[in-house]
Amino acid sequence: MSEDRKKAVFKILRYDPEVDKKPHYETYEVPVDIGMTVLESLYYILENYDGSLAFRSSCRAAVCGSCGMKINGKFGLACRTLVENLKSVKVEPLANLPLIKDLVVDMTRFYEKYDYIAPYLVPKEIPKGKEFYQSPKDRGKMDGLVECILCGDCYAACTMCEWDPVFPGPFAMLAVDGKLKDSRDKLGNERISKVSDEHGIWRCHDEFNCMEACPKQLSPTEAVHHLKREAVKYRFISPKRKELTDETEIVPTAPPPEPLSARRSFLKTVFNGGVGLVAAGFLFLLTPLFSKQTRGWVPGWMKVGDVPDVDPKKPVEVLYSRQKWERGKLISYPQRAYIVKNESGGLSAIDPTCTHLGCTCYWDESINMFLCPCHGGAFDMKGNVTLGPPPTPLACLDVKIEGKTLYLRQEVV
Amino acid sequence: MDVHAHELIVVGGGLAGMRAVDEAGLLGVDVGWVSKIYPIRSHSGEAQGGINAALGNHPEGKDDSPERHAYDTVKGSDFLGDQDAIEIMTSQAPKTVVELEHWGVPFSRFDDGTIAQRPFGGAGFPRTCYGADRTGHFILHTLFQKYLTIKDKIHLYDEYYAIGLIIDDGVCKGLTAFNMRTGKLEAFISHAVVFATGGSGRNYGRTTNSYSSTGLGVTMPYWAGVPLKDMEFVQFHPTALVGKHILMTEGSRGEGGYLINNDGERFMKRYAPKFMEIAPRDVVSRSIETEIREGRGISHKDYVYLDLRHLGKKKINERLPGIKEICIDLLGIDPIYEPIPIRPAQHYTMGGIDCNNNCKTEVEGFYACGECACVSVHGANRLGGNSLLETTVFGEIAGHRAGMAVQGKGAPKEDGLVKDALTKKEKELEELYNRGGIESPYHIRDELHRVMDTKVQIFRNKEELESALKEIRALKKRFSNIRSVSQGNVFNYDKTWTLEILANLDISEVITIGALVREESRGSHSRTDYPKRDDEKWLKHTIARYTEDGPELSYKPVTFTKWQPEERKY
Repeated sequence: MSEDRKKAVFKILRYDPEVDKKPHYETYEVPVDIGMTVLESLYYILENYDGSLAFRSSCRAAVCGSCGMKINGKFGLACRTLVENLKSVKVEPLANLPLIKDLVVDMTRFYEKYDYIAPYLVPKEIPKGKEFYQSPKDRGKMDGLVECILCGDCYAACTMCEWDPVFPGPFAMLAVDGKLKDSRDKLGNERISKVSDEHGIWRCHDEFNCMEACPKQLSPTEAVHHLKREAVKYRFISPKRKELTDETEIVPTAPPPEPLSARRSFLKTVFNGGVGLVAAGFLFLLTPLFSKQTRGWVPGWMKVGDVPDVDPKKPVEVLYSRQKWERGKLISYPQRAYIVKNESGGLSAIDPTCTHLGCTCYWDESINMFLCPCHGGAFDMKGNVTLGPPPTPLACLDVKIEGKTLYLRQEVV
Repeated sequence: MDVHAHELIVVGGGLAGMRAVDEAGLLGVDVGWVSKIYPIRSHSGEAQGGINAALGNHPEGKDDSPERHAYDTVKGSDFLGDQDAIEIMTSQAPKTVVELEHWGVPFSRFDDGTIAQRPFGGAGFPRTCYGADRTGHFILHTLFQKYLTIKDKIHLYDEYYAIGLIIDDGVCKGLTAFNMRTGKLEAFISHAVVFATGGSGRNYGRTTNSYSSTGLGVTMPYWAGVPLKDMEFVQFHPTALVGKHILMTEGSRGEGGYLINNDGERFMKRYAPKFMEIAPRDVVSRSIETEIREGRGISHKDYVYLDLRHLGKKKINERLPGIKEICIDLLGIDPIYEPIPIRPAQHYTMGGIDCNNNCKTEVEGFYACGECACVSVHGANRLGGNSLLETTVFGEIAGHRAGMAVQGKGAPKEDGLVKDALTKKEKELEELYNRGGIESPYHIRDELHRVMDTKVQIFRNKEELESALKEIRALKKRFSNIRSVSQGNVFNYDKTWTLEILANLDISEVITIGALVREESRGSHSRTDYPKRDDEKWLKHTIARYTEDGPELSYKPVTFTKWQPEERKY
């Protein structure tokens, strides 16, 4: 180095349970070389300024998962964060776990949760003297699920882990999904029951914090989504409920709510009765929330394409684009709809936007239902609710056929 | 006084330790498992390339057999490996790998669904079974998961820092350990102790080893009178990332990567015309170092290129994703488009605690397995893919043998001996931690690293080794004048590092003396002043015993079964 070595200011959370009543920050100045990591800087501080600085470390190659911590507000591995481009570095311990000293947290709860989900393989019949045969395709299904290093970054970044101490956490869901997708595993969907109670997968809010924090670029959120879909399929809403096998006929758990049109006539009755005007008005204002938002969308018929051949038992997915005015510009959005055969033999179109919180449902052939990937909502082929939190059936679209071309239109409210 | 009593104590959370714990647990033995870090943080997880077993899954490996595997290992060891031990290891290999697979290790697969295998250094057939470039990580996590199924029978003491063996009259009684959470010294007593504490890479500055592979685990028994074997044989891995010394797996060459010098030449053709880049590690490391010394390093600097570009995006993403990730994160280089700058760095300790094929040492009730032990299956040079194999095979043997020896005995009763040992250790530490001098142990360690990196490295000679020994002894003197350690009991890493550095000094001395006395070139030990292998004088194991004035050397014969020494050509 020809010129003076660059320096970085480290602000580190310090807490010694034997001396301090509460944590405080201390600052250190560390000379920085090219390629220097936060972990190396911490060692510099330990060796040159303060030997009592406590932090865990081992491999320095991002595989042991020891040095997960909060660096400049983001969770990550100290051995994988370069100091080079940072002027000041704020280092804090992992969140959502009890602090022991400085950057060392008590991981007991974390390890217990890993243990709780039973992360080990329960093998099918073991071939004698030979390995299980597993196709590269089947092995490929586990990619992105078995690389987890249990560093705790996702656990610390997850807001649900903060709110619900029983929530297993993203890493645990990832591990469950990994075994679920292992063709050698015998337990199969039984594994989901570990994480599908009221503290489990359904509490995930899709904030993607875990994905952002993961130093191995894994995607626990995606794993949770897969688990949710599987859970709905097998109706493992809660292990406390009676477990249904594949053969059991699916019966709605709650009476299906009235369709929108019926609700509207109910409102009319309320108006005519002239009672509860205010409350009714309030309800009326709410109704658009349950139906499709129309503000800004260009009304009218949208061309879809050729009329599809529809099997009476299987909806056909179609894509079309819908236009909307945004800041003076007309923008096209791709939309999805499912075309089904109705009782009279004609075609109906179902808008797959879930009436619970607006996620897009998809048709699952294995149980012949529309499934919502977010909170376990399920709808039958007509769009009626069969399971989960959605308050109303799926909305329908108006269908028009001109010659061989199919047109759709949002139901006019 | 805290005393924990178990039938068996296993020290070390890596693969060998885990495997020993599993095995002893299956025998129904009451096991206490002591590890200075939580087991899944162990250095075993850093192993990338794979684990050797003659499964014959590779289309070009149909004729492979445990015997061929044994021959390759013997030849790789430059005929210093004990052939009976090697045969045990290679004949157990297929069973071991299949067993690991049954327990859930997500190995990569061939199209026919069998475990995928790749070519590796010094092997006549492609026999290294792999899971992308994360094989160690996969096996470590799978074995840990397996431990969770029997964890009720095993008491895990994680973040307990073993610091001293209790040996009385040639019988191992237990050990003393720091509880990191309280800073208290606690005693563990048992009928037998298994050490699986890993390598001693941290004697070197340029090492691919983790911060936890310090060698204290080898030093503890050394201090207690257990002899060490073949410590001068230190493996340098040919391809470590420049500056960071992070391992770039041998698999990258096994998959077809090239080594390139400043002239753009694949220089291995001059050193190992047949095997090229996948010659054994000692050969490749020497070749790279020679290129650098002769001025053919890239831009005449001290590194060469590992070129993977011709493998293509798909192969790199599929088989070497970890390598790619490390290069991008730390150097900003994507190996798909740019060559990787590499240089050899310390990687493995072939030597270790002297033990026999049953992992037994000369002290009754004291067993060793894994990298800290020297059975010896690696001799003067270890082949890539044999270390994971050693940990699992000999971990199992150690767990089984020790387990059988203590089964049904019940936890031992505490006697005065333990109390004495604890008080003695406490006094020793008290003295070590309050010397009140002026030297920083970390500066002494930096000096030691400089000495080891420059004078006890790939190429050695009398002059440098003598000067190194002198410097190490001077450093030991300086160490007696270290400053007092930081106050505080909870997670005081200053205390543990100070102890580790003390251990580093002693082990470095053993390595240097062994290297100085061995006047020949064999495997990883190459003397420029004695460039030939000398089977007549030196076909024997070095044994080092601790004395106050430094190690006392003696020698032990090598076991031969089928293969007589021959010239080693690749």
